[in-house]
Amino acid sequence: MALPKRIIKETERLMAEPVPGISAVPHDDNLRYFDVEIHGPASSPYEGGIFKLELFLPEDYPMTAPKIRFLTKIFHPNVDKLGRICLDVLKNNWSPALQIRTILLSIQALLGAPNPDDPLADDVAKHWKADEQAAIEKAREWTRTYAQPQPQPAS
Amino acid sequence: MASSQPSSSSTATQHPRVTIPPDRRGSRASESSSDDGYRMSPAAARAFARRNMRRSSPTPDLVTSLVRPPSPDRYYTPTSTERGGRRGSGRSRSQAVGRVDGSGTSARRTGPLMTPHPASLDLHAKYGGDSVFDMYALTYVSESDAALLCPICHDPLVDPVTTPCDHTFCYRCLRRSIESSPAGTACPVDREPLTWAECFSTGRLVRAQLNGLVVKCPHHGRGCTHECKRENIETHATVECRFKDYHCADPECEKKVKSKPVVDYCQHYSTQCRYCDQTIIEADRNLHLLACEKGKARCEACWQMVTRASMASHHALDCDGIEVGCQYADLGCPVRVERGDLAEHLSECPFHPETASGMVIRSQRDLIQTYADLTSQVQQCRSQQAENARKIEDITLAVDGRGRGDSSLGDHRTMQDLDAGFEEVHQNLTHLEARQSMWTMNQVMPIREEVTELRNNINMIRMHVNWLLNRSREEGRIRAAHNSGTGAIRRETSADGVSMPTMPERRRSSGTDTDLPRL
Repeated sequence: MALPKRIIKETERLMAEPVPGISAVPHDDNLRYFDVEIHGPASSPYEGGIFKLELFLPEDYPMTAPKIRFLTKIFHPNVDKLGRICLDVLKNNWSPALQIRTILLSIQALLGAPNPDDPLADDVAKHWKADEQAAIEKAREWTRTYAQPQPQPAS
Repeated sequence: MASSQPSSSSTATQHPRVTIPPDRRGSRASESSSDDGYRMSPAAARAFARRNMRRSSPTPDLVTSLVRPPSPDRYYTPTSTERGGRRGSGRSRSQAVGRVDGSGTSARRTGPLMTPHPASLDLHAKYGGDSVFDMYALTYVSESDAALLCPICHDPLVDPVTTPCDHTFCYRCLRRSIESSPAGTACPVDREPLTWAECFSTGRLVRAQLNGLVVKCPHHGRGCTHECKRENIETHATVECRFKDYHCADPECEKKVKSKPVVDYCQHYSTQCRYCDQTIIEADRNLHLLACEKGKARCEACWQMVTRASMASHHALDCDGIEVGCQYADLGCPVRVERGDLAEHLSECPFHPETASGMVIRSQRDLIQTYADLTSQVQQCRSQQAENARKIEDITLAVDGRGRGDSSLGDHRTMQDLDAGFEEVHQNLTHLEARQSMWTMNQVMPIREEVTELRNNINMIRMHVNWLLNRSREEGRIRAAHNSGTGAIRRETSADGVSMPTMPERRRSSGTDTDLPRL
């Protein structure tokens, strides 16, 4: 099936006017598949990290939400070990008026404001609730370990 | 979306400035900054109107019903002339794809009233959707105003439809969104609850702007350089454009095909429609499918695919998007809801006969029914009386016709006359009876005398016969005695000597009767 015009338009716009701190590049062989990088927001435990995600636009996008997954390991109460994200707009609250751009911004906002009350990774959320300072420290440590820009050119 | 907000609010504030007369404007100057306060924004007014229009309360709130703003659809209602105008502007609407007529079950249609372009109905390829001119795939020459873009497909709007929360989408985009929405139906932009029935066609101004956008011919990839307004492009692409037809895949075949051939052999062979078994040319399959009675079309009200032949019964019986009246409408329930929501309404309908209010209503209705029955009975009696009076009149006239006095008789006189008539008839009858019996007597008397005479005659004859029989018997006995000739018999005869000598005398005197005993 031909690529809907909306996906082409969105891709063009993502390239032409990228969102600060976010980049999304489609694969050459599959224009529905994007490599995404999100910079950890300032004044958060993820500051300075560059997080890789994969984004796939299903057949009936924009009527269904894109599939997004963290590729970089991250210590976050709303992201599980496999990188799946617990975010309402990716599930029930998806609306066809949302775009790749807005979804990535929501994920960036989620990094800045973790929500341990609606967890996906139970152990992380427990840790977060029990001792927030320690959890933030651990998130910082994970960011330093796994989400540094240095290994990027090597890989 | 963010860009559309200021524009709508600015119209809201400019609008009153135009309409308020100068003298009244002065008095309002003190509260001019709160214009929005007493004058609703268009969105709020529409939402308000919608809410009031669809009130489910059986007794409408008097205040709100009095100040109810007119429904927005009143401004956007496509009259038949406008529909004709649009058809005249070049859109081929000959294939009526799933039109919902008001002629079905409901007098009022719900949802946007503008006829959508066939492409908006999102027909599947297997039902001929491929041959519908795709308004959604056009290439626009210039970047258009961001306010005219659909938030879903990011292209200029096609068949724009506005939600009660004042967001506008393409017809097809919004229907697809409602269809696939995981969280019930909500506006894609602000998640306000939304149903299709509450949406309405966007205003003429917006449609005019959209129709004026310049697009490229869809065959520009084949070399057509034509560019024209969007409203004219379908005519160009389907009728005028010289690039519209493709050569048949078979170089031997002279015929053209309407779409790019996907197989490398000639498509001009006869085959059968897979739905209705009609014989069609393979190349024209899609055109046939768009009209095939057994093929499916989109029901505009509920967005289901329904067989064309059963579309009418679908609308009449099971389409969930058609507005129907409450089943207790005959009890007075004024509610009209979409069929899909009817069950929900019935569970709380105050006219349901099993609720307390329903019982009161029912008893009242029974009373009214009884009263109506009585009234009709009284009327019946009255008409019967009139009938009787008329009959009496007729009888009177008949009696008059027999030559009885004056024609103008009151009821009293009539009765007397009738009595007199009866009396006369009675007398006549008695007279007749007497005459009858006299006549009978006269007739019967001679017959009776005759009968008596006949009876006498018969008796006489019987006596004669008896006498004759006796005589013949005696004669036979005497003859037998003579014929035997023995002494014993002679002795006997001599003993009977007293009567014997008379017998021959008698026999001799009777003469002719000698043969009688032999008989």
